[in-house]
Amino acid sequence: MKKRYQFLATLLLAMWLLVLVTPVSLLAAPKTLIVDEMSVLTQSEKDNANARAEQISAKYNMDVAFLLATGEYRANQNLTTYSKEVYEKLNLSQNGFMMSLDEENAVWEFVAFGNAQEAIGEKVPYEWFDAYDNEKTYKGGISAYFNSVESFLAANMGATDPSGTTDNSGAIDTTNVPVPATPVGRQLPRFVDSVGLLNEQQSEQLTAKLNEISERLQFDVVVAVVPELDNREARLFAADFFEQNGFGYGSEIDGAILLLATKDRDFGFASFGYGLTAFTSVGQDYLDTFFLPFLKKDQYFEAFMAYADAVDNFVLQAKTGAPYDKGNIPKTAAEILKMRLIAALASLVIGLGLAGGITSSWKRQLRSVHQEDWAHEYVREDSVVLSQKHDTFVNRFVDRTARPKDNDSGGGSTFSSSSGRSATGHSGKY
Amino acid sequence: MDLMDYKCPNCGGAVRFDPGKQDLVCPYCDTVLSVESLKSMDEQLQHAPEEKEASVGLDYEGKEWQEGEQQGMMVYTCNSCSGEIVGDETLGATSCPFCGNAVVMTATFSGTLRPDMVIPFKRDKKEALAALQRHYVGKKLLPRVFKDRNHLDEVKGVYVPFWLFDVEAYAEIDYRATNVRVWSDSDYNYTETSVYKAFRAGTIGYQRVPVDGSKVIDDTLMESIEPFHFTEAVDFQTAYLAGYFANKYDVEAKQSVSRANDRIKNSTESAFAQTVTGYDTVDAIKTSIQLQSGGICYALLPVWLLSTSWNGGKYTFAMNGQTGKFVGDLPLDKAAYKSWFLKIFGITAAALLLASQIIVTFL
Repeated sequence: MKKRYQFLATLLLAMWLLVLVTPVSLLAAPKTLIVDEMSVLTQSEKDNANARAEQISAKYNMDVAFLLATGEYRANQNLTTYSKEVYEKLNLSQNGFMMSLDEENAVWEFVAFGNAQEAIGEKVPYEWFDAYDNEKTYKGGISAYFNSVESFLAANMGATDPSGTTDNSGAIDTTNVPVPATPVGRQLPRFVDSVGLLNEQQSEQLTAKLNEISERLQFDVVVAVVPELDNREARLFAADFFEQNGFGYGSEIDGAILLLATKDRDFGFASFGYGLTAFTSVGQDYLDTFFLPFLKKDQYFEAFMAYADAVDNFVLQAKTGAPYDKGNIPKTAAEILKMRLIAALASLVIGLGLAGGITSSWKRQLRSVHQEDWAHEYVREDSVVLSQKHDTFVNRFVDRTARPKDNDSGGGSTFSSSSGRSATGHSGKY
Repeated sequence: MDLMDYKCPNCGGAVRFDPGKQDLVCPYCDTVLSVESLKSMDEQLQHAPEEKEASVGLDYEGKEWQEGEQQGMMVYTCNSCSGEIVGDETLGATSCPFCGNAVVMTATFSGTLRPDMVIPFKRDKKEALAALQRHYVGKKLLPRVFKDRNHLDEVKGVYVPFWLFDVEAYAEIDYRATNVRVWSDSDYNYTETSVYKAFRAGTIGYQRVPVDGSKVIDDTLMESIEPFHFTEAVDFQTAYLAGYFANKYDVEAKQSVSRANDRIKNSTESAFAQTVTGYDTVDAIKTSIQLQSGGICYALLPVWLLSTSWNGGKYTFAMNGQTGKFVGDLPLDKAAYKSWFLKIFGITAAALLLASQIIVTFL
């Protein structure tokens, strides 16, 4: 018995010590800011939305929550009181707000608390609901809602620094501040799937990979899937998506995004900051070879994983001082095999040509008897007399042929995002 | 038949024309006789009383020649050994097959058949043999056994009859000439072609264009050893033929003229085309060339002919007896040809294959 007590005591002590050395952040339970009573979101979508909500909450020091309610609350209360009840049950901050929707009864409600109530005032944020309502999917609607909220808060409230002090300028000064693991202002997870191309497990695996690469390289690697493009080309859409959702490290927002619009099978690649060095025009053609074959076969998970690895490789290569560019593109195994076969064939042809040429010239040495067709040797000296000599212009004509277009520049080129920031990228179909 | 041999006034030995000295030389006592001095000897020999030959009193009653068998055949009696020399009617000079005496059939070149000129030999037999050896040098596909001199069948200096044509050519030729200018802008490549019509008319004179007048000697072989320089031609003297073979022509001038005309037309077109200058391309589109004869000469030109046999085939070589230009087709060593082809192909292909694969590896 004594030994058993000693073992239990040791175990408790170890657990206590473990708790002592474990960072507080790991012990704190994540906030639940997204409540999906209708069960219309996948776990991944819910996590993504929650992460986004947490970002905004931390940035503006108020909890931003969202409720998709069933109609069961109507038995004994209305949506307003139910929303307040849910907000309290979530054990959220005294400062915050929640948008609640009851799709079954086509009603929505907005409740605010503490400084959020003061900031928002008595104005009912119809534009937030409109942003949600204009989207076709729940996931898209929630994302649009947060975008709208973020825009409002950015315009009306300063972001809060890590110490909790509000910066009234609304801008984040990164000068002399170590670059954080999470880009300042990032509002979405690094994999945003508005269409549901990947299952939950794949989404988590991809997100983990994107996070690991991004944090290690300090270069935001993002994949986004949207239903369709608007009137912008894919790379501009991707660039705006990246920029407007707060991706990117540092003041140059270092990072890259691959965006898919599934309706017309468009894809756009855009990169900012260090990406302008890492992804040259020719290099972007090479980048496509990693993920495009998978996309064409609708192997999205494989494509995105390959894209993430490729971006990792490109950025590391650029840091050696020799980014992938013309003359510095590794050949694929198929290309090398093709080159080897061509070289072998050329060697045989040149060998045949050389052997044929040399032996033919040796063969010709054996022939010295030939008919003489000229009498030049017997022209009498000074006997050539030109009695008439006329040169007349007849006509002139011009042939015009189209010049072959120079394709060496590749698909990628520098452009400006809607905000005017320089980016590099390209668009295409898969 | 008249047969003339040139004998040394000192020792009576048969003299021969020496290409190095350009005189007649006695090979026995080294007496040198000028061609001019032999002109008078020719005349004396013509009028010298015939020597009566001793008869041994043995008569051989041979068979008579069958009809037609003797057609074109001539029989001569050697003045030196009385041996019978059989030849055709074109034979003009030869050596006696019994005593080696150089003899000239004067009748072959008498009267209207007398050549207008002759270019004396300037290259001797040694030079011809040396040239043959040089002809073998550097020819990798020549069978090695062929180089063996034992296969040389015959070497003989021959005065080959040639017709020499003097011609005035009058030509009128229309040419289409073009100048081409190219330039580009960002979208197109442009080619501007300016077309001109050029007309040329005039005359060119040709002097002594040679055409082989002997049937038995290959025309192409003779054209291959051209040119002959007629500034060194001299008036014909039978003395120049001493020690060599010679034939009179058996192809008439009118049969030979078409070959000369073809060559003259080609050269005329080419010469006039060279006067159309300042253009990128020049093409004759209409040609009219009229030829007017300026005279025909009959000449004997010096040629060394060498014959070899190998592997059942006959190979004939010719050297210009004036300039030393040597020609003659040689046999192909097919085994060596295949062997060299495979060696070069194998080595080149292997080297390129290795180099290319290494380059691909490091790309």
